[in-house]
Amino acid sequence: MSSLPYILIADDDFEDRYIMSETFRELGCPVAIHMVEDGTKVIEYLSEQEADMVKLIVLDLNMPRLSGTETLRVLKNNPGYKAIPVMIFSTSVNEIEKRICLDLGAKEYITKPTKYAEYVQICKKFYAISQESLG
Amino acid sequence: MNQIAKVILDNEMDLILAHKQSMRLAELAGLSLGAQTTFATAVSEVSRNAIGKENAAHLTLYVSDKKEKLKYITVVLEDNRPSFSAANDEGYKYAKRLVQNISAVVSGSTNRIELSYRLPMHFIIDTALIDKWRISLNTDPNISPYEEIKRKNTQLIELAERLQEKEQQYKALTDSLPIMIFSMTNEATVTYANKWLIDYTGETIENINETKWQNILHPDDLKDAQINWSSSFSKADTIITPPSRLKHAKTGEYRWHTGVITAMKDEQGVVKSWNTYMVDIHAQKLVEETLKNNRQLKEIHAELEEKVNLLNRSNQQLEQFAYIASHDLQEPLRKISFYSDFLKEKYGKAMPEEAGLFFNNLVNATDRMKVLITDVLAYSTVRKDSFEKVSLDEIIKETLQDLEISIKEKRAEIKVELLPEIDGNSRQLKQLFENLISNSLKFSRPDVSPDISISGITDNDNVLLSFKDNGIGFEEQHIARMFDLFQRLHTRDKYSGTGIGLAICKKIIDMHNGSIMASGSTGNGATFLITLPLRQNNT
Repeated sequence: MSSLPYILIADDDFEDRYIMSETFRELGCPVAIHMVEDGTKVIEYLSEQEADMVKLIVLDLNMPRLSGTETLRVLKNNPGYKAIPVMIFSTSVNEIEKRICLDLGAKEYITKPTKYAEYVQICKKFYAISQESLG
Repeated sequence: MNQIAKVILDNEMDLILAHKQSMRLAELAGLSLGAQTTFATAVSEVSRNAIGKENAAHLTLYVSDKKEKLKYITVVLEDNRPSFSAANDEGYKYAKRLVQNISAVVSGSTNRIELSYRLPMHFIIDTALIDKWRISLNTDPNISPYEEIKRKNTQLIELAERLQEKEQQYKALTDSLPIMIFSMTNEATVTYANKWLIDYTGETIENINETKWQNILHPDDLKDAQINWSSSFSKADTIITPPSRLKHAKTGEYRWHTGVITAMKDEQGVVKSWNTYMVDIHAQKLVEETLKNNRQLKEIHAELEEKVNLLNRSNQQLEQFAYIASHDLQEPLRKISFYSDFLKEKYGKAMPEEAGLFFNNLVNATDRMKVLITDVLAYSTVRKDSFEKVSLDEIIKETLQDLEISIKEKRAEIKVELLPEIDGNSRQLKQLFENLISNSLKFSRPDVSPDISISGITDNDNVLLSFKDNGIGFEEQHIARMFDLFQRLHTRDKYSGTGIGLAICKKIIDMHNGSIMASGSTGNGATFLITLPLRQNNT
């Protein structure tokens, strides 16, 4: 059981998860990060924790078992979870997918950058949002 | 042989009697009047030089035994002429031409001449018949030879008249038929031709025989016909000719005919002449040809369809491959780009300056690869999509909006004339215009701000769009291959680009069933003329 507010991040790529956690560590943001590999694990984890402890969910789209889009749909259809802000963080530049995610209720759709500097900025933004939901 | 009668040849009267008896025997044997006369004449011919008491000549008339397979009536002349020789005797030589079998034997002072005339195969000889004949020939009523001849004459005249009548009837019949009818000898000489044949070919019988059908038969069929006809003469009774082309004199047109050649035999079964009937089958032959062509066309069509299917499948597979390859390549590419940049950011300061340069090269190369893969992906995804009514004006406006930043940067001036609505795919057309306009912006002269004019002329079926700029242009020799994949006209350091842009343009235009043409020269700008149909069939 987490007693700290945390960001829940779902990405099936091991390297991406590693870079994300390293970046957060280097930024020194005082927020807990929890990583899972796919959409089903997102739902599982939420059901085991106190829902109001999760301040932000970051979803990759191309995941096995339950894709990012489907996970988003499940989250927004669940009265217990739908208030949690969800950011889509994906390699895909597909306009149609972007439209669908935003319509489903995602807060933002961000394409994974290739420049590290941009990446760092995005992590800062994630932190900022997680702090918003506090208080 | 069975003896039927005897005639002693003393004088001329006996000669006449011999003639009469021979005629009678032939008549009883069922031979035609013509055959009777022939036989009797043969007998007279060999006998005429033998008459005279001093020669002791006599004739014996026979008929074959019923057991014999081939049946004849036979006359045997025996005499004592001293200087008889078959080779020198005119009568003998003449008779030889008239009957089937003749022989002469000289033994000592006796001459024996035997001549035979063949009877029809179906003729049956029995004892009763032979007795009847004997009675008939030996107890004939007292009709004088003169009266006999007169009787025969009358018969002949009647026969001639009947023959003439029949001939006229035959001619009337054959002339009334729309079929060619003609008779030929064994040497293929035409002896009779009906009206239809004469009228159709415009030739006379003499002409036909002289030219051997060369003016009538199609040259390609002439040789075959000659081979066929001469082979059929030596063979069966009835031959069906293969289709041949005969020239219709009035129109000069060759028409297909087919026919039947039938042998006309005499009583002995010997072929005397050939009757030929030819009928016009031109219409049927044309139908046959058309059907054959249709069948062939159908076969070719089926083959083509199959090839098209194979090509389509192959195309699909290629597109799929290009899509998957470029799509799947993007992920590792992203990682390379990211890590290169990541390493530069993290450890750049700790590395020697050289390493930094190399890293830049790495990053640049990766960026180029990314653009290339994106372009290949874009190219492979241009495929037959649905059409709808689109406003070219609006699409251009949207495109210019998307390129706003570049346009401002280059201080470009873009003039657009009113463009029509057409059936098309708006996404693909937007890509097309974007490629063309961004090319014009990219390939502008370094000291001259780009000036681009876009206009269109519409006619009944198409719109002709013109994209004209004042950029660096291109050499004429490059125009032919300009729209091929990966064609770059400049070195990489001068102008960026993967060389796919124009290939994508061409593919989009192909999908719209249009065409594109480029013109321009170095330093004088470029013009792209694009023809697009106004209407499409939505499949």
